[in-house]
Amino acid sequence: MRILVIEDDKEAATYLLKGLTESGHVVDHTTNGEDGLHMALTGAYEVDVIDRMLPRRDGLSIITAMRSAEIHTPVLILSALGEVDDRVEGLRVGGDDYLTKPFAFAELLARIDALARRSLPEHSSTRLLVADLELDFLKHKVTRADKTVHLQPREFRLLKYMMQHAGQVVTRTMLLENVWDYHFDPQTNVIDVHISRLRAKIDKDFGEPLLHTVRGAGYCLREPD
Amino acid sequence: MSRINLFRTTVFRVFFLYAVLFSLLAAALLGFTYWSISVHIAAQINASLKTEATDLAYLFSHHNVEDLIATIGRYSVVGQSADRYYLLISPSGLPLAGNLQAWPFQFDVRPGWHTVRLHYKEYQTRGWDREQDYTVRSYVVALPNHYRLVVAQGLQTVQKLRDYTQGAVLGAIAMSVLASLLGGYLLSRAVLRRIDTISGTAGEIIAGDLTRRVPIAGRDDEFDELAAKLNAMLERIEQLMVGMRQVTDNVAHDLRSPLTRLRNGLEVILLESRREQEYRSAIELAIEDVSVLLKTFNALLSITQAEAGVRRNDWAEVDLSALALDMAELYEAVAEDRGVQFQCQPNADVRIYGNRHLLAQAVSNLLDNSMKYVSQGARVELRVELQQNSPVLTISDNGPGIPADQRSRVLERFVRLDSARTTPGNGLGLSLVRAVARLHGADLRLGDNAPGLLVTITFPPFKTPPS
Repeated sequence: MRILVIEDDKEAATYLLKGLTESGHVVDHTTNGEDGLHMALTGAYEVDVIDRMLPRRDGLSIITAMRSAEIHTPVLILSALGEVDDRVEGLRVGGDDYLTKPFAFAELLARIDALARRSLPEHSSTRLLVADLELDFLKHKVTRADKTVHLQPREFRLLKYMMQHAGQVVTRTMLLENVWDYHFDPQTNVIDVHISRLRAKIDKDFGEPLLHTVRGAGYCLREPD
Repeated sequence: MSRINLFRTTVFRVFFLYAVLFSLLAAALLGFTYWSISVHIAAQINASLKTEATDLAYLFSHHNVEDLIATIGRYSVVGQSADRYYLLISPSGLPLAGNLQAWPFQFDVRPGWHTVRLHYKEYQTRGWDREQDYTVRSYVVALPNHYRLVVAQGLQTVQKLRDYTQGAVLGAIAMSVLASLLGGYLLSRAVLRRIDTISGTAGEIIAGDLTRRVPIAGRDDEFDELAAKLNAMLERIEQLMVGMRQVTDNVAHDLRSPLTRLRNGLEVILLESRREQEYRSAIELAIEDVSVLLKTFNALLSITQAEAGVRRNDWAEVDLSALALDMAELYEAVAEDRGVQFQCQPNADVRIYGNRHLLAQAVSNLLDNSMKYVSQGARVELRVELQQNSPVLTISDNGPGIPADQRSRVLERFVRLDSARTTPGNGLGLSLVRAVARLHGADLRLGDNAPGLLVTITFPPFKTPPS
């Protein structure tokens, strides 16, 4: 996909560009806020990655300007080490996600994927389908290979989020944010325990596993190859 | 001693200014007294002179000259000691009676008031024993047939009083100026000495000795109060410095081993050429190591941010009970996996004002700890309740607990008990809990659950924040 990166730190930008290009994305880059805003206003990108502190125009005002110009490209805000982690302000002006440096590249990649998916038109369907796993959120029912799988409410939300982002890597902090609605960096494997319980219910008694662990990044629910 | 000039100190200036003002006031008061006494005495002299002159004139007009001469003779004898002088002159200008030897030449002979100086040689009378000029106040009356009468009063006594008062006024002013100079000097020297000790201590601290403290004189005065405040500030600064040094040391120490391990691992891989799968798994391992390091940095950063706690625009009303339930739900699975009996008892509707993400992280760190250190079959309990209006969150377990003498130490960054060395962790969990508690004005206590650990966080009573 086409991604715009507005980042004034040369090293960080080089690393982002290299990583994103190698992950198969087309990346445009600029180092200052003015140019960044002009490029973002073309609306030619699927995701914008914008640093908060930029020369000539700060990141938040770019987002404000974009949103008032009816440009709804999803924006991932980056904030530098040592700045106050002010997620609330960033999300209030119209940012879609927020990441504090230092971050793992896998985390960034996963979040960019999630944002791009969000910008796709919503499915009107009330059902999600991955291989033979089916989730019906009106009936609150999950089946795999036509057998009903009984899930706790939180497991249901967890699976729903995984299925909405099927084929993408989701990180532990993304799960904590979107399924539990808490934003912090869990110190231990607390999310892993929930995933392994879910895995026991949807994968254990069925042939091909769907829920995979991505080392050093997170998890991915995907159709068997 | 100080390099500060005594006479330029504030104390000296203020003292001197007050002394000058006081001297001026004293001078004005004394001057006024002097002036009113003079006026009063002059008025009395005038009145008495006029009365006598009028009496004598009356005598003259109703009797004869002889009677008058006899009366003046008597008056002169009595008046001599009171510095009172009389003189009756004939129409031809000869003195007829009185205690003045001659009509004072320069005397104005017109009737009325005169003030003149009498030279002692010319007008010597009995009683003028000293060689001195006399200033007299006189009243001249014209009698019928060109007789003239002078009644005069020497002003010596009045002059003496005036001189004395003048001397007293000048003396008083001189003394108060001197006293103020001396007082100012002594006072400012005393104050300067106290200030000198403070600035001396400051100098030593600047030179690098952070353990120095300002001496307290024990007089319980404003300088002692200042010294105590300064010492408290220095105490805090020293604590922070020591803390910072410790953190730096610990960061260096705790990050060196994983970084060395990472480097060694990568070096070993480079020693020989390997299959792609081997490279891949080595890199994945390295990424995991780095993730742990990154987690440590993020945890440090969270603590710093919670400790700074300046911006609070993401603060809101937080339902502590709901938050406890959420965290309990998050950890129930972990507890079950580890065979721990986990209970959550939140009393409904306990609210505080704060940042729910930070609070959740603190609770999560505490639950992490409990789950990590208790053995299988142990109990962990999370409670939320109101105690005297204060929201209280407690987490208790019957695990190994923390020895009483280690309880404050484990709240420091990177501090881990020796018994915990074998379990994974970075020693930052409780530091964050403390930082979050402090940020919310809450009191964090680690206690003994006999056996086990009892963590109590007491929040200030909930008040709706000003919007």
